[in-house]
Amino acid sequence: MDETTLRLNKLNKKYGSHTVFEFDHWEVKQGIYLIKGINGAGKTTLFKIISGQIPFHGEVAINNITLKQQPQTYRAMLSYAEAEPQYPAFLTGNELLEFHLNIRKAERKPADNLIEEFKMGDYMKNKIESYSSGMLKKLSLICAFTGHVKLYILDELMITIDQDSIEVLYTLIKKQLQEGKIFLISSHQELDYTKVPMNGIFQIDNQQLKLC
Amino acid sequence: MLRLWLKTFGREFFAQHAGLFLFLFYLIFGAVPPGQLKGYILSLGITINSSPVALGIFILAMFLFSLKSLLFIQKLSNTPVYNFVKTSTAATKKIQLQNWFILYLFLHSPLVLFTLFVIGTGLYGHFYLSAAALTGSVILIFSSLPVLTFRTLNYTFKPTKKLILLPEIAIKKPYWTWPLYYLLKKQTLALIVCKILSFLLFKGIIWMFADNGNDIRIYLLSLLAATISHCILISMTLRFEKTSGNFINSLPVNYGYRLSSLFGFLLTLMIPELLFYSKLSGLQVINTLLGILFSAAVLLVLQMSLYFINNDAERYLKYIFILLISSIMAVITGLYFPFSILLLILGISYHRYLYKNNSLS
Repeated sequence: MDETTLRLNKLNKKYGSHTVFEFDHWEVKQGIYLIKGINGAGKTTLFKIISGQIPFHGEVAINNITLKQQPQTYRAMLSYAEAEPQYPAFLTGNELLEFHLNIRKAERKPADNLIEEFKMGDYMKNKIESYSSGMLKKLSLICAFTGHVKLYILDELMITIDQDSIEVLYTLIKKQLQEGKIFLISSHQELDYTKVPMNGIFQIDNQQLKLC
Repeated sequence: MLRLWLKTFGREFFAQHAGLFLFLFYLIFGAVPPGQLKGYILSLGITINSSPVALGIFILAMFLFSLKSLLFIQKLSNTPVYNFVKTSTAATKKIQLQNWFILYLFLHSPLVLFTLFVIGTGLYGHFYLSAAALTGSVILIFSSLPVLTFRTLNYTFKPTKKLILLPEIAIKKPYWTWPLYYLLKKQTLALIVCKILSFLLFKGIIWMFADNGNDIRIYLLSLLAATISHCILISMTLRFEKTSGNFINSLPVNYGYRLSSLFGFLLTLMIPELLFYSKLSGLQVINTLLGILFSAAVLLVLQMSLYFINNDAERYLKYIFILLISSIMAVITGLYFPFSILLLILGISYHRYLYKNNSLS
């Protein structure tokens, strides 16, 4: 099994004159990493940079495949579940999931298992506009765990979901870790480190990612 | 409370509709030389009073605008950011109605001023029936809007009954149709108003040049006017993509798919106008393809300019104006084909640049 590596080089991200990130090199290998920082420190910005959602200066690469050189191959290797996901309200859960499955050329069966585990079966036919914030979060997690990706980015993974779903999530993360994946997560809730042992905790401080 | 309403709803309403107002202003008064403006406005007032058709269109436009403002307030009140509005229901009925009345008066201020002028012109020209119809419409609008808003906010606990229960038909919604669904489901009124405006402009230009015979340039000018009138919808769909469609940026979607989806949406939006254009230009394949190319190029540049100016309504209007003038010149001089190709190259290049820089929503 090849070890997955995420590498960020010469990263510079500014909002107007405010610099959020400025560093030369940051690299993580297979494992689970917690990104910490106060509100507004730049956790979501970092995740959006890595997932290719916002412009930035520098280079991000997974296993030497860079976002700027091979955007599609790069994006096929990662999955990003946003803190507060927003989807077209007129779509049903199933339609959104099918969209993800088609894009990732993934099988439906594992997603069906997740639907069952997250107890979302009764709602997948409903329009997203009728979803509660917890259901929306579960749907975003189901979509995030479709296909064969190398890097999972889970922003505020535990907000709005119930305890049973958090247990499902822990099991899911553990299983994927055994397959050599990288997890970047952020959470303001206390994580159970006995269930998801961290390989590293990074603090966003002074535009850098510092190991705690 | 009133000050807060004006600062939130009022500011948001005019910020969102500045483009529409300025576009309509240009449309109605743009072609009139400054020296003739006074006479033009006066004759416009007299025409509305003297022609039952013109009066009917004006009253219909007033009601459509009122409906638009009512839906705008209701929609905004239902967003989480505007949850504070619900606290206003603790005030007395009189105060609530008073505040909503003044807010709607503020939102309608350009229309009210013009309507008062038309009523004045009607009275001066002895068109008492028209003046009475306009006065009645204004009274009806300003007595019903505050009451309807009051009821919506104060009786949220009452279950609503659906008068017509349409069966839900499961239709596949490919990615390129999402902006269309958004317009159909969430911006229905804007879509209808835009389509009405588009057809009026299309027909208006055909009538204006009716004595010029069968000239492809006239049909292209009509198509141009109809295409440009979709500028508000383009802006709305971009806003939708930036919020609800942004997640697609982290998915492995190739560039060809993004571009073809965009063209799929733009051309589907223009199907009725393109059909009219094709019929008028004799259902010839070359002419039809020219129309499709021209319309797609103009819409693409409209959307790309919005990206370029970061959805700034004021600057958008300037870009629309420049695009309109240059397109008219290209059509009149017969250079519509190279012009369309140029616009397409510019639009696609910028679209690709945005894709490469993760700036596409």
